[in-house]
Amino acid sequence: MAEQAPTNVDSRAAEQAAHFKSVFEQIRAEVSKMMVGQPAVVDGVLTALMAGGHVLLEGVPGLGKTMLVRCLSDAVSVQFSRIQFTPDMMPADIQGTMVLTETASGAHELSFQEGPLIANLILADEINRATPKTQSALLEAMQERQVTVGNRTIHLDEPYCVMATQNPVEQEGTYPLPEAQLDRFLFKLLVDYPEENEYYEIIDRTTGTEEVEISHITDGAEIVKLREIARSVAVPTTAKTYAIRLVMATQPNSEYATDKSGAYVSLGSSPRGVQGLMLAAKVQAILNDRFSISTDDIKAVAYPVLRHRIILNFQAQASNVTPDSIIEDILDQVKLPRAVD
Amino acid sequence: MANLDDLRQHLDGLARRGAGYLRRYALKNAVEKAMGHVHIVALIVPLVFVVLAVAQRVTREQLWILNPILTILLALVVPVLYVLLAALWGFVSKRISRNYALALFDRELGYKDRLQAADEFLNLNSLSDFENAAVADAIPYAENATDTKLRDIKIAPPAIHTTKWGHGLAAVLFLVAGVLVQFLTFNPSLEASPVLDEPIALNTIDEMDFEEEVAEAPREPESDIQAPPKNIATDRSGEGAILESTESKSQDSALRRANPSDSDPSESMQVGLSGGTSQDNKAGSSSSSLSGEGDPEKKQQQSNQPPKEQEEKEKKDRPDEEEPGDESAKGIAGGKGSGSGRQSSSAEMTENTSRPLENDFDTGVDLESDDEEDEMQEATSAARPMINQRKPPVDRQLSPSGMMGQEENEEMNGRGGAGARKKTRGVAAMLLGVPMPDQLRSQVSPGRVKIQRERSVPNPSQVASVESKDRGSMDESIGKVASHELKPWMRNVVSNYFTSMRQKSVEEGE
Repeated sequence: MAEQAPTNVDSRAAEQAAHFKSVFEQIRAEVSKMMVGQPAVVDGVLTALMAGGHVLLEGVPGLGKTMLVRCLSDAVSVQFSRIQFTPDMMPADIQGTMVLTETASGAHELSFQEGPLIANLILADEINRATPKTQSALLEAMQERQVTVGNRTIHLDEPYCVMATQNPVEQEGTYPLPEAQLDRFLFKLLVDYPEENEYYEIIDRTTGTEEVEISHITDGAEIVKLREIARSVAVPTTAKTYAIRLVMATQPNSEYATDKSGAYVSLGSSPRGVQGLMLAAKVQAILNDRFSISTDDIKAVAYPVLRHRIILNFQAQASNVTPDSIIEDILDQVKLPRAVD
Repeated sequence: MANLDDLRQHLDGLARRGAGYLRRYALKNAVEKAMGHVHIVALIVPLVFVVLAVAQRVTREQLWILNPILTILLALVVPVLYVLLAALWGFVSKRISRNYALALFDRELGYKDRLQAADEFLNLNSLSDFENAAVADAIPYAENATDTKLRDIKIAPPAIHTTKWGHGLAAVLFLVAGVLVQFLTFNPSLEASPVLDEPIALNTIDEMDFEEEVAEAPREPESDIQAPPKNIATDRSGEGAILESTESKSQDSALRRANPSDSDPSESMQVGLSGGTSQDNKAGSSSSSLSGEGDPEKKQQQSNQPPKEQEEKEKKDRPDEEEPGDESAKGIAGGKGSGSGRQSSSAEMTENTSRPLENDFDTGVDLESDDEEDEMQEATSAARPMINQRKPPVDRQLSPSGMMGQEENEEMNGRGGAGARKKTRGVAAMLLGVPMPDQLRSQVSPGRVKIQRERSVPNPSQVASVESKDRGSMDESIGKVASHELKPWMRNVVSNYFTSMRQKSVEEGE
């Protein structure tokens, strides 16, 4: 029996799911006006936005990473800020600082000037060019949705999403993101070169006189509601068990570790990996017209969720073993909970 | 609600059907697993058969279980039985849960875990909107799965690995080997043959040879066997001796065949082949047969006697040959000759040291020859044995590692064998030299430094003490003393406080 739209199901849940899917597809369509190709990257960014996670986009320059996030911010009417990270940037530059301001009466007083980190959608461009001190300023904002400057704590409004980009090639003068920082990203999406037929479309859209306008599809409040819908998706035990086994398989000394992960992984995924798998799989389930997660949903999001949470050892780097090959091996080796032993 | 009841019924039916299919799958897995080991199991019966056949051949007791037909039957039945039992165990012991059974339909029909999820959510007390929706969503899929015939789901037959068929071939070979061994053991015609039994064969061959010799005995004169000509034996040089020795060999063998009870077959064979070389090794005469030294009859007797007696008998039989003057004529072939022995190498001397002392140096050596030997020993190298002291030569080996693999013998004292650990009498630098610079840089020694010490005795000095009253007053002021200057309002507070206090006390006094 082929995949079909749910019929005769609970009306409220069905409406929510249908609305979720509709908004998702509309945003995707708007973004696709500017972004040629890269459907997996676009879906990944939107999935992370709906799941309430942050995204790390990695790719060589010129592939449209920054443009994708800008288009998304245009499609979703939320407060958007862009931070171009440089080595001399300080935490105060992104968090905000106390500045001397002149009041209406002519007096002077210190007031807090918010940094670009205080917004809804943050584009952290070339995040690996900032020093670890500045990178660490993002930690609190990404995980706890708040920024502390001095004795002032600022709670950030939902939706809050950091979309960072980094260039894997130019490593000179960069500071690789620490594991604690990487773990806070829900997805790490690899942006690859477009296909040959996509180049034609890129030329037509970007070098002509016609300008593409991105219309607002939804706003921040709507995004928050969509996130709640996504979190409502039912999770059967089978899916939980499978996600747990996958995450444990990335840990080299665990019961489910494969030969490859045991040999090449020095640090596996944290419990945030299971959270990420579940949240992303819920979005996938709605997009696939289901009300509960299946193991296929978890498989579909395993790569972007786990690839940056697997820290390879020296032997793996010497043997050109990538995290994706480790995940591929794990997906092959780890048995489904329903599988007959 | 009716839909939910229908869904439960559908799921129950699907679970039962799925469990049946999974049992078949488990059976297939069990058969596959058993087939993985059946090659080894197939080897067991033939191996046991071969071992028992060999044991039967050794013990010569017939075992009823070594019936070849029974063994072949067992070799065929045991692997089949093993597979059947393993499959039965795998089928019976496999516990198939309801979730697994429904998962089979989910997987095979591509339902994305809908049936499993619905079955799980149906058992919950309270359902959320999405759980209700998931249950309702599963209804058409469950109905569709009920209508689907699972016989369309093909279960692959058990995989048989052809790479392990070598084990089966080995089992057949073992079986054939066992049958052959058993056949050879119990074939009456072959069992009577002494060829298979070595001790019997040797005795039989000896007896057969003896009978033949007895039959041929009249051809040879008995006088040749009993009394060989001594003049040939005395001639110890030239071809005649060699010829005589070959003749004596044949005579020896003939004589031993005539008296098989005197010596065991192995000894007789050894003597016949080597011509008494085993005795020569101990006595020092390396090839007495070549030198023509031995009388065949005497050799026969010597072979049955201990070495000491044999040596004494040799001396008695040949008193004229033991003279010192004749020893030089023995040469190297004689092995005991002193004439050639003095010119022998140190290796030969080392060989002598390994022998017992009483065998190396006879008591019959006279004093004159001892004196001569002493003089010769002093004149020649130090590696000569000190015969007058009846001691082996001094070991000049400087290596301290003489105890490798040998037991320490304190009595040897480093002479003639492994004694205590030898002292190093030199170092490598004595032979190789020590690199020394031609000219050493030096400087004139300053000599001993003379240190002069003086004893100084402290002289007491009297100083008049100063009384405190004699001390003068300080002439200069000590300067401004820092004090807190109170602020005016504080001064007012303090003055007001004390003023009020005074006023209060005055009022109380009034």
